[in-house]
Amino acid sequence: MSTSRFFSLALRLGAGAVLALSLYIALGRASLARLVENIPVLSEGYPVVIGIILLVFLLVAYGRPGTAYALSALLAGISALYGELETRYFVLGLISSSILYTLAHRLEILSRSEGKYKIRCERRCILYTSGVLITTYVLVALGSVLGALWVKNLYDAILRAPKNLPEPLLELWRLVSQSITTRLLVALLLLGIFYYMTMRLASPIVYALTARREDLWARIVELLRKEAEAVSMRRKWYHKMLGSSLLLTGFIPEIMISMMVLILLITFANIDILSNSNAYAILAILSMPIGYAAAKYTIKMLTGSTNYWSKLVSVSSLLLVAFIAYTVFSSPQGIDNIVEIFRAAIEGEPAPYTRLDLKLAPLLATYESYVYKLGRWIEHIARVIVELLWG
Amino acid sequence: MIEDPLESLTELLAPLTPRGRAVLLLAMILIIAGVLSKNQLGLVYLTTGMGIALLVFIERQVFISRLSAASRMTIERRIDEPLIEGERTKARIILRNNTPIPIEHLELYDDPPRLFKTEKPPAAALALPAYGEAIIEYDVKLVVGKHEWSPPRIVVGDFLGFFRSEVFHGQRALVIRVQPRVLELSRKTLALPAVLQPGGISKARRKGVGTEFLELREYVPGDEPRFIDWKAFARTRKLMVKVFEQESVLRAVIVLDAWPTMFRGVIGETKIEYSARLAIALAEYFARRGDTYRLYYVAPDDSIAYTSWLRGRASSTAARYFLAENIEWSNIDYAIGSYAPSIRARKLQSTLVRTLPRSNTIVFIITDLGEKKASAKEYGDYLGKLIAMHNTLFALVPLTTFFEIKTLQGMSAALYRILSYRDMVYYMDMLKLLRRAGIYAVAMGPMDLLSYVLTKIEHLRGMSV
Repeated sequence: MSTSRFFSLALRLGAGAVLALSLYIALGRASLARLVENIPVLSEGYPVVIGIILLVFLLVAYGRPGTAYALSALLAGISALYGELETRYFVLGLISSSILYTLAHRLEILSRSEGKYKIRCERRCILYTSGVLITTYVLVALGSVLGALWVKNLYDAILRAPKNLPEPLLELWRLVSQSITTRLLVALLLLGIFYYMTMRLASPIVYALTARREDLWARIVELLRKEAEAVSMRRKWYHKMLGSSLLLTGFIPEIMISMMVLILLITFANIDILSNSNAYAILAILSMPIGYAAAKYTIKMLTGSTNYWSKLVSVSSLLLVAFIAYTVFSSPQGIDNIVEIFRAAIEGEPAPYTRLDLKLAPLLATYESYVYKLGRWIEHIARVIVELLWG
Repeated sequence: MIEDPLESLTELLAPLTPRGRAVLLLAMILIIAGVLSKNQLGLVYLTTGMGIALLVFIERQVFISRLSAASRMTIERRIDEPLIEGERTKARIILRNNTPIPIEHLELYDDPPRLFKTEKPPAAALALPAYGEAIIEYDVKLVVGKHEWSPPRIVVGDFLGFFRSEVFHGQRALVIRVQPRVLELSRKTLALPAVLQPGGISKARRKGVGTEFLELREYVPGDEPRFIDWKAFARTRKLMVKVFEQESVLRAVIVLDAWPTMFRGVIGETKIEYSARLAIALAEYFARRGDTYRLYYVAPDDSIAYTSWLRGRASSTAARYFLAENIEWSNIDYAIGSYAPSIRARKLQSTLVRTLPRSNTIVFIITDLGEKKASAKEYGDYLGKLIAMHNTLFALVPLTTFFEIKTLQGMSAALYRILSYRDMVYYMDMLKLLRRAGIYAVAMGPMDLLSYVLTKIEHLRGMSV
């Protein structure tokens, strides 16, 4: 047996031993007992679990690390579900085992093949290699550990209810946050965000390090040119966002009109839906996208262009004038209750002619005051930004 | 812009090894365990699961950086020259990392032409440092002819073993041409009047007045003063005279007729390889003798290539290169039934008639005739016309039986001789058909025929041995 083959075998056995040992320690005697008690297939006792751990060792030694790691992950996962897993030992053991196996695989290739190699590395090479390796693995370790802690804090913060929340909302928050679906969704969402973040942060760095100098300069120049073009054409994401917010503001008349139309339809159809303030709130929420979509579609059809901000504001203003004119002329005919409803919605007072659910009256009042304050803040910020950008 | 989640997931999973997938599975299980658990331990599991998942995500970016560095590597292949068949030569692959990113785990799998022999599959697993260079070398035994050497396969992995992917370089295949070696004369047949030279070719030259300088020797009374080399005198202070070779008296043609059946057998001892060696041995002989000669190669697909008229000692290099360029092992159609010997014979005849001078050319055709009597008949009919044009034709026919016997020993060889008797009768009938047409047909095996041929040539030249 050649030296490489001998060391390869030794490293593979070592990798298997490290994984099996770490799994055994991570499971611990207590959790082994519980696993044995609770899982029917393991009811034969410790020998079965020990057998699985030995199997993991043999699989790694035989050259099937993927199967071994999957099996040990399942066993560890089942143990974790029963709340009896020492994660530190297992994770460290898993990573160490994997590194050892990679080295074993490398020696195995060398032993089975014909090919001697030599490496040439001068001063610059040594400097860059050591620098990049140290930086990379420090970042990997720190990124994983700190990132995990940060995610944990975020997860905790999202699911913990804010202190100043009113009691009914607090109760609602607790109910929602304790549901498994919510927790799972939040966890996956955070995971997705972190995946996206690592990708977006790493991709330009990798490109900058590996691209040829001339390609890199050309790419930087092109990016700067596109950026300048987007700013001059007002196509940046903040312009679009601002445009959308302003559009939304400009669409308030359409929203109000659509809400009014819905209320009128319900009244004429004699459906007593407005006695329930939840339905009233839903109606208000629904009228926003309906009004927005209707107005956007109308403007697009009329103008045929995508940059319709000014046209939209003009049309919205016309509609608002028309609405005011309508209410002014129609109020003598006894439709002043509609005016009252809209005034209540704008000024944050409860609607006078709706029969409110007594239990949720304070809730609705609080909700409406929040919406009113939010609306005022948004308007104020929008005005400041428009002043800054467009003067 | 946020990408399509399914596409991102596919991209994440694609280069994952089974180990990487197992680790990701562990992360998901721990996250689920953390979500399901209502106590403080649940948060620990969740954090650990998140940490493992983040490790995989970050490691993926590290792996992508290594992959990018590997795709910008330069790969150079060098093979020690000259490329002569049968010799073990060093093949080198030089990898240069032109980026500041080291590659911790890189596997290289080379794929030499299938006929080349190596002791073990050529491969290496190494770490390539930033701005560093790796030279991988191994020995390979060459086979005569033109071969395509595919670019090596490069696989990159990460140190933790979670990711692995092949790198596509776009490097083209390298075409190499291996020259045949010269056939050696066996010590038994010393039928020629000169000392054996390295490579086995005899140096039976005639000294006399000619255009090719042969050597310097000391002046003896009676030598013509015009041949005294005064520069040599100035150097050595001795009178030296120049000796010239007698000019060529022979015009010869060597035709290597490569039927598909010639490519069968044990590599190193196939009929085509032996025939190429014989052809080069003859070319070397003619080159050293100062004769004028030409090589023809009839490929398995009936196409014919030939050299210009060659002469002089340096011409044997051109002959070697010609054979190295034309002998191709790929795409040999072994369906001999699809070949029409009459078409092949007619093509050969018309090419020879078109390219040969009117008479007095010695033509050596090395062919196994596809081991078919029908071919022998067609060749006899068509090539017999060359004899009518006052040319001399020799057919050197390598027989499979003789080549196969060489690989056997003792009782096996004896039994084989008995069992192949019928084949021998068949082959002898083939040779009779050629002889009837006036062609000097000789059966040959891997044992030495060269001395017989050289003797014949010297006989034709008018020398007695």
